Amino acid sequence: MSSPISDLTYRGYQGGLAPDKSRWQVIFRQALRMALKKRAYWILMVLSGAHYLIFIAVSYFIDSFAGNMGGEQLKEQFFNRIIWRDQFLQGFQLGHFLLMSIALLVGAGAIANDNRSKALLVYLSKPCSKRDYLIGKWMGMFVPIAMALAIPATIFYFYGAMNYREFGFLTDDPWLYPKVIGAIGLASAFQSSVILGISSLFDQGRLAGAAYAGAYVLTGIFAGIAQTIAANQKLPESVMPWVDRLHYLSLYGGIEGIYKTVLQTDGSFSFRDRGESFLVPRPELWLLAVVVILPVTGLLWAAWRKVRAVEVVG
Amino acid sequence: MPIASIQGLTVRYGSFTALSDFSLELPEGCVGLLGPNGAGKTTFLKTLLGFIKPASGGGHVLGFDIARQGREIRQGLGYMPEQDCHIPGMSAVSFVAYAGELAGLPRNQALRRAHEVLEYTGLGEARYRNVDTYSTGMRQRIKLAQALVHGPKLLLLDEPTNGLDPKGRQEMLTLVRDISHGKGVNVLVCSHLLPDIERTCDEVVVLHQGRLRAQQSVTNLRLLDGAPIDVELREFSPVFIHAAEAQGLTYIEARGHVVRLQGRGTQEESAAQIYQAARSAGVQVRGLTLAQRSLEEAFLEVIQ
Repeated sequence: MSSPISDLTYRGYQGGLAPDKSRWQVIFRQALRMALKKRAYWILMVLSGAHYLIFIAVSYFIDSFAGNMGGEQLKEQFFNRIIWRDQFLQGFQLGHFLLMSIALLVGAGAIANDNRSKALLVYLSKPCSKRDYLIGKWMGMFVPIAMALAIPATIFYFYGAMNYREFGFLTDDPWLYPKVIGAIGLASAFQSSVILGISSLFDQGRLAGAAYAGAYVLTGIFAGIAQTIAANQKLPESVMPWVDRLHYLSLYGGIEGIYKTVLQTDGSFSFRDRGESFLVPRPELWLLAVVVILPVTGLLWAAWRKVRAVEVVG
Repeated sequence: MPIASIQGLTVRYGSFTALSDFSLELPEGCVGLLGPNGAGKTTFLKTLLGFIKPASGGGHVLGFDIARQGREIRQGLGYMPEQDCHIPGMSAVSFVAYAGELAGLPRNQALRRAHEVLEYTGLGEARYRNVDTYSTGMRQRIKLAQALVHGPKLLLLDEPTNGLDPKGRQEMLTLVRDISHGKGVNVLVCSHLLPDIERTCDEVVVLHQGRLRAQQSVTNLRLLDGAPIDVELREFSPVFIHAAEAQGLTYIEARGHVVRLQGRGTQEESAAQIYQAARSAGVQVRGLTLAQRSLEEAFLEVIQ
């Protein structure tokens, strides 16, 4: 008996269909596949964990050699001044440009490239709504960004749990890991929302990327300059909190604010003491809400308005 | 049963009215949507897909309400847009399988059907190539493949031969004809190219300035008013014309051996008068057909 290997004649489809509610998952899976296929993503992720690697190397050196050389006191001194939750904040602070690059890599072209190739006609002519499309695209950015933050942090956490227990790694804050994951989740959600909105406004991924990078860098520079100028004016004590607040009026400041708020820390210096005046206290909740919710709402609204299968002219 | 039923549809872009009080019953089979540029053809297709909200009126497609059941409609529809559209960075098979998954097909089925429709649309050899590297003709075919992958009941083709060379155009029209006449898929072909419509469709809908101007079969649209008859003679004979006029027929024109006559009675009566005239003129009649004009002539008359 012979039978064809495959039926090459067109025929209708009578089989089962996935539920309507799961269409965003198709878009999400595809976006995730595309992101994880990029070698640059993995390289940036490894590089963004540099702080953890440096910390592990330094602490290993001190743990192994300082004791042998009779420097138990040095070892004690070093580990006792470490605030473990701040390591995760510093991990972000050191690698934030690389994380911004990851966000650019996975998010800048997400909608902009679809705009350029008119792929929205393909998406929206299928039984797939604008909401499915945006949720799928958002998740396709959120998960890779969160993974890039969470994988190095998780590896460091478990390394710390195995090696630094005697120095209070687990007892200082028993809820540290959930807090770290919470901070990463919120920071990734913020970044994904911003870049999704920016991407929807452009017809080219490169332009969207340039706009996001520009916004990230320029708002950071602006907030930094404003804070430096204000701090050097010898202002009255009552004004100083407002000066500190200027630090958070940037995309970087927003993400750092999320970290500090969730981890409940103002930060610290692990390897050298630069003085508390260099530390910006964590923002009040209302300030964080303004800094995070305003751009997120505005840009998500822009994405909602821009994503359509037809260009309607008035 | 009509595939789509539209009543009093009005669509506006700001102050510009693209479709005005448009009503239509779309029959099964292959229907051509004809109209000059800017007639409202694409707007009509996009309204059926739920991309544009009508200002007034409504209707049903495949039994679903166009205002409320867009998702259900799109489940049964396949849309091949006029513009070049694809998802960047994907091979043809990945793109078509992805389109299938977006339409709700399970992943393994989507992949299987992607291979099948790519083979069917003539892209079997190039299925693993990145779509970005495709030629215009190949891009037209892949747009058709992504529209077909989920097995739609109604296929909307917007200018399917756009940018194709003569050979590619013939192949595309053959495919469209096969889909509509051999595979049981209802097709709405939107075009301003009359030969494409003539080649593929059984019925035409003529749109002009956002209004429905005509809806009938291609054959009927081409028929002339008063149903004149073309008489094919063995050779041209002025004597036959005099004899025909003596029988009460009106001579219209002659093209080679073919004489066009207009009768006053029924077609059977006119035919009897023609045979009588031929007998008295001693000429041989080789054929009688209802006179038809070209689709282009018919179209121009309808839109004027």
